[in-house]
Amino acid sequence: MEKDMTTTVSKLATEAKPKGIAMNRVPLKSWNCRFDHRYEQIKQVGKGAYGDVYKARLKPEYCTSEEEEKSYFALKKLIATKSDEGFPITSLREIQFLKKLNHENIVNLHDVVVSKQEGDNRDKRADVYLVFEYMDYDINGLISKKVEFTSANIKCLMQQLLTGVKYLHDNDVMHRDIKGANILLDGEGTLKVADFGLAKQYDKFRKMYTNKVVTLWYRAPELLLGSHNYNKSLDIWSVGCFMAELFIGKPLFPGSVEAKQIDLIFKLCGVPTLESWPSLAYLHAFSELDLSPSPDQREKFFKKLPTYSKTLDDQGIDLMLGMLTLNPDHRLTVDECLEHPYFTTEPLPCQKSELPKIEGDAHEHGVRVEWKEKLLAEKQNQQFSSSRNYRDRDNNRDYRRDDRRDDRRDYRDRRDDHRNSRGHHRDNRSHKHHYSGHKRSYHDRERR
Amino acid sequence: MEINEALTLDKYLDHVATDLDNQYFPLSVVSPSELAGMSKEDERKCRLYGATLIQQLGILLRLPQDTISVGCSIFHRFYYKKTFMKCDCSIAACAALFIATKVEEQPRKLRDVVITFDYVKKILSGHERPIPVMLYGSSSFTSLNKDAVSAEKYMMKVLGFSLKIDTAYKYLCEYIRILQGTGRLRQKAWNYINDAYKTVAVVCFPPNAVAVTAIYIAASNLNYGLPDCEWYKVFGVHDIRIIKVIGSEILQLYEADIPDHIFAKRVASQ
Repeated sequence: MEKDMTTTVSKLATEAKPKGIAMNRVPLKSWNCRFDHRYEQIKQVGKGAYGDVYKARLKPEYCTSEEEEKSYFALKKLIATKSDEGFPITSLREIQFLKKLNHENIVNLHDVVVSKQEGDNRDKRADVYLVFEYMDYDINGLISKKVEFTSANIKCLMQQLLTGVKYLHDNDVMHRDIKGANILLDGEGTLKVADFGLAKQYDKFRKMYTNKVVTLWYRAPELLLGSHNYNKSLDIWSVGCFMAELFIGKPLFPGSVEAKQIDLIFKLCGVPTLESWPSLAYLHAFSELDLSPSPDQREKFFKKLPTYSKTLDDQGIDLMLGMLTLNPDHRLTVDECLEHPYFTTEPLPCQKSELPKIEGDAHEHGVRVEWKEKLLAEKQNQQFSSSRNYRDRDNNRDYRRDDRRDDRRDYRDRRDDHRNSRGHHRDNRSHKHHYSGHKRSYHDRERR
Repeated sequence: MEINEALTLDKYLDHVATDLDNQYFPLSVVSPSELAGMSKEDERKCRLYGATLIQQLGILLRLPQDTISVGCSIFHRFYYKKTFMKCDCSIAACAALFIATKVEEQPRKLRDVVITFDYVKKILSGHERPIPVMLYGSSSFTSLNKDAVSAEKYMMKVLGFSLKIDTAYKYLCEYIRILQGTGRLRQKAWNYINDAYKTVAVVCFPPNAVAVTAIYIAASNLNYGLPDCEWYKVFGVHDIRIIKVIGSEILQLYEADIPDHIFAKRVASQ
């Protein structure tokens, strides 16, 4: 026993030399976490700033039951950022949320696997994959494949979506990125909410959240106007936009930049007044707003739609008006949405199995790849009629990438606010310069 | 109280909801370090050293006690899967606290954690004063930074990314409120919980048992009159022996008769 103690103590003593750290000599073997070579990848089904998604199957030698042999999985590769902060906190949040949440309408996390690291090459980062069940369609894919939904279909989809969102909100989770591409549908017609990369626990005592969340087209007005203490109602706005998209067949507010986006929203919903939205005065962008009155044209707009009286009825419009309310305090809550008469009037929501099905699978990524191919073909044919829609989509992606810096930005905002409040008015850029100058002088001193 | 008696308590553990994120190892489980031939006493010392390091580090980084305790739990859990011989104990402590800051939404810069860690380690190993602070961007900083990142990822993998851990503090506050205890009792019990996070008790028993034990010891220490019945049964602890097992684990810390940080210093300097 004494020998062992001396070995451990000698280990402790070698800490002083950084090379002698034992951690790196350990062969990478894990107990709970399994490796990705259990799965064989079939094809890529998603791509974005958040990482790539692959359709995969469990290799036959690792299957324990027949069910596993038949089923497909979706592998989501987490981005290995080269940041200095180790494992990204957003990915960690996503894993923790998915482990905690367990609901029929929330995507189910099967496993977390890591890729095998060869040797003890510690510079090469191991990839982390999240394993989900494979879902055949996402709603964006279905819409762009011109699938027609009946009124009962849409009610069924909305009911399932709202049930999922209600579960999230009951658990004080804000999803912060609800959109068609993140709403998945499996062959049996069960709808699941996916992608918790931006989700966050709602804390009513917390005053600061970053407002650079949610894909631009689905971003709520209070975020666009620079609010930092929003609440769960931002998800309802996204759900409202999504519902309108089901009726129109294309996005409701396809803005290219933030200013354009808020312009589009105000054009349709009318410019808010201080009476209808009192807390507007506390928002960042309030002073820059042009508050010349403009009428609320939502009802007119929805009634003009070609789908009006076919799939869209007055109850549906009423629900959408409730969800697309500018003032977040007056917006419907999830419970109010679910209790809305829209879901209890004829035609009633259909059964899951009656939802439309198409051959093969439909994902936004696949559609985009098809677009790209089409675009290439068009270019080759010397026809320069570029697809406006496609370009917009790509623009939109860039916002998503910004969102990833969520926390750092959060931190920086707070720090700058703090500094300004103390009267240290210093240009951010010059501050950086100053700092690097310091660093250099440290180095010089070391060399001397 | 012999540890062997805890074997009979295994049944108790079956009743506790052990989901993926909160699995508790019964005391009868032999830790890998022990299997590899380390004595129980030495392992206890190593655990104490690591937990003390985390505690000091957390105080200097101005972290709430909750976060520090999650860091301690991660540290203890990690060494229920890996041995102290193979995995360096101090860098693991640093990584455990760094993970805890992320999980508990109290983000700290890795730079700050690493530099403070180096400072605390120098204090604990009895470095001559004044203690030099590691320079940002120096070669030793870069290598320590790399080690911390790789250790962090390694620990996450070993623990299977189940890092959301309940701490005993919120249970304590609730229980004291129900028992209508005084602030003094609460403070005393709180301190006992702090010490409990230096032992393996927090890995073997759910947080409510730890909180009840802390109240029990604190009340007997202060001669505080708690209800003269089996009040702990209300809080989900069905057997007084559980309290005695956890209590003996905590009270063993004070047998050495020296403060923890001096003790840790001795371990480090041996």
